[in-house]
Amino acid sequence: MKTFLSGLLALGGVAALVMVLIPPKSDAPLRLVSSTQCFACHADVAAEWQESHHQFAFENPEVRRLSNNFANQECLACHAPRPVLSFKPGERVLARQSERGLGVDCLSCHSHPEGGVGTKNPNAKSDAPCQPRYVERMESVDHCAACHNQHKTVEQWRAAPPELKGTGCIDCHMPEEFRAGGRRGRNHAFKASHDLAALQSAVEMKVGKDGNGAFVTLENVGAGHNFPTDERSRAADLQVRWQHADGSWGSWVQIHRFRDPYRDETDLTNTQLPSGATERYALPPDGVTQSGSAEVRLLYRTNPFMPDGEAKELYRLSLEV
Amino acid sequence: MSKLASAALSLLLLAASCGEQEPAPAPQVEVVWRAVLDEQLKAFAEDGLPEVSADQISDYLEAMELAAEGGQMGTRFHMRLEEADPLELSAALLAIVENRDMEAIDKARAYAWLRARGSSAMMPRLTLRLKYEKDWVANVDIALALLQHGSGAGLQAFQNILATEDSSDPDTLQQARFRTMKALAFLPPSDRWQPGDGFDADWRRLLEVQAYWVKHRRLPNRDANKATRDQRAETWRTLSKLISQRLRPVDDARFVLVRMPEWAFEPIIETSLDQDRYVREHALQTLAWIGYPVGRWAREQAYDLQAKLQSAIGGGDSRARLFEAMGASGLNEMQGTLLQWLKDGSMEEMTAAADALLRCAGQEPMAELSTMLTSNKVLSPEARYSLALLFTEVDAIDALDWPQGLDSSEAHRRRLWRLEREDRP
Repeated sequence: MKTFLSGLLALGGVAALVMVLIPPKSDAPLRLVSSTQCFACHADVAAEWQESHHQFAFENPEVRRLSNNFANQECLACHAPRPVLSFKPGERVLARQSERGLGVDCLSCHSHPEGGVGTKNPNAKSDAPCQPRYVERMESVDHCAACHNQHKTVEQWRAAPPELKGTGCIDCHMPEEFRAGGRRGRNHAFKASHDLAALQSAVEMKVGKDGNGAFVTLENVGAGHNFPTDERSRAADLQVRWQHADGSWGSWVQIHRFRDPYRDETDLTNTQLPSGATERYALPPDGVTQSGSAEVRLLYRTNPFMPDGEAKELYRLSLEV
Repeated sequence: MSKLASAALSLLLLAASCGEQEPAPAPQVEVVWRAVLDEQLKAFAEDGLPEVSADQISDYLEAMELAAEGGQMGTRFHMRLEEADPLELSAALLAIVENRDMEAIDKARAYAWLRARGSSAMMPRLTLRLKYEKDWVANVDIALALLQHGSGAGLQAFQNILATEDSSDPDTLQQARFRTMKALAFLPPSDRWQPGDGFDADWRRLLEVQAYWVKHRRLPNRDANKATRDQRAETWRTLSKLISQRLRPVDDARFVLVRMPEWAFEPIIETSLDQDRYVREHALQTLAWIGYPVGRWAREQAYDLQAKLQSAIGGGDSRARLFEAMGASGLNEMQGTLLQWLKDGSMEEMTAAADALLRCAGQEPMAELSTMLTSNKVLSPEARYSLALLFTEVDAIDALDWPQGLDSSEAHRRRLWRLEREDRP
């Protein structure tokens, strides 16, 4: 038994490597059983996905911590989902059994229940080995809603002003990409809350002063949903610090937190910034100085207890008061 | 190692599958789903806990407050609560403890009255309080109320309270420990233990009863208890939450269902034939989470679990979940079906079948499995790992021979299943 297993496993490893790294010889239809089969022909897309949090969905240590290492199996549904197209539009996905390590992989979004893959490209080469077929809902928010509406992000999008909504999630999170060989497609890195530029494009911070004193405003100028959105752990903090007479800086003072609280945080309310909305806050004193130079910053945290030093600083602006 | 490379390494035998060999078509079986939940909710519409109005809840709040004040008036309100309809009282007091904005003192009184006068129909909703109630003393009341109605779901709370030594609130902990020690007197007696034998004996008995509960979902020295009509009504209402698209109600329902006594197994099994895909998926997964107690119960009750589950095998959408439930029962009569689908199923079905075989197969199919592995079979890393673990029962496998590319938590889950095999029904 031991000997045959050794040989068997070694043979399988080599075979799999050959399969993944060398494109298929012909356009013979593939029986798609794993996303690794996609990598040979779509290496550029795979490379983008490799950098994404979709790829990281199952292994993400923060998810592991919050889900008690997936002892809370409910989390698996979106962190290792079955193909979305096998569910009705907008309905929640369920967890798969195989290759969970690949997280939200190619087959999660593209595998078609009748075989082959779904694509939003109406001119897809239908005789390609993966047998692509046009599926209208691939570019609809319903496709993403299967996972991303658990915290009402898609509902927020539906309520957003038309000028910020665009046509759907992919406008911002899957921008157009022109690849080698003239191939045109969509970026599969799914840049969002883990990407500084994506975060900065969502909101605009301004500071100023008027008859009522110094203030800061934050406007949701770019997100077709609340800021922050999705998981309740996401938080954005506006903070100010003042310069003392001796030139030293005081401590950062909290101005406002934007966040949808956990259900058991009954003393808190939802303070997310809706799409298109602007909020203005007076700059609070630090107890030592209320005039002179001030700095205001916006920090983004992927969990509400993340120390300042680990949070992403989206903006820092100065003003003289 | 990049994910591309590790995935490549992990996908043993996949290349062979992409060649000439095409798998045989999976067996086709027709299945007729039923509106199980709709039918049962209709049948039990008049049973279970009644709806209560805001006025009724206010009356109960007032009665509990006045009853706590003592004196003549207190006695009168105490009597009023004693004489209240247990179903109405349970519904009103559960509404109080489920309300996040309610005062802690009101909740504490409600829990105490639920323990003293609650109907057994409160069991599902009271079990859910174990998930959300953070107050230790309240947890003692919940656990004791459940125990008195034949559920050991709260025994873990007793154990946690007694095992906790340090707390930021030592007075509350002390109070909870004191009340837990008193509550242990309500554990089912045995030939070797009676209430009053002392703390060490009580603690040992707690662990015994809890182990028995975990294994059987029944308290020791109790007959296989049958549910009342009101309890069944509330159980069906809990099951109806499985249809939710929002995760929280599903999560809550399953928290409750996996902690219910064995009489709840049959409704859960029935629900696995519901016409709604989400309902049957979640029911099947609940059975899988409960695991061997379902198989043990089926064997004791001569309930043909295999035939029941087999009748859903035509439902391709939830077939992988079905295999999961079949395997989790630990009943080796499931292995024939699972072997067939390990040969002929899709990647998902084969993975689920391999995992299920790890949990329920005897040693009979080992030769067949080894033949299958040498025939360029398409198998996921998860399936290969499960089968390798199964093989360890008949032969040793060197560390280097273990299938690679499997996430450590997925490997750990399967190693636990391997360890649990000792305890198959």
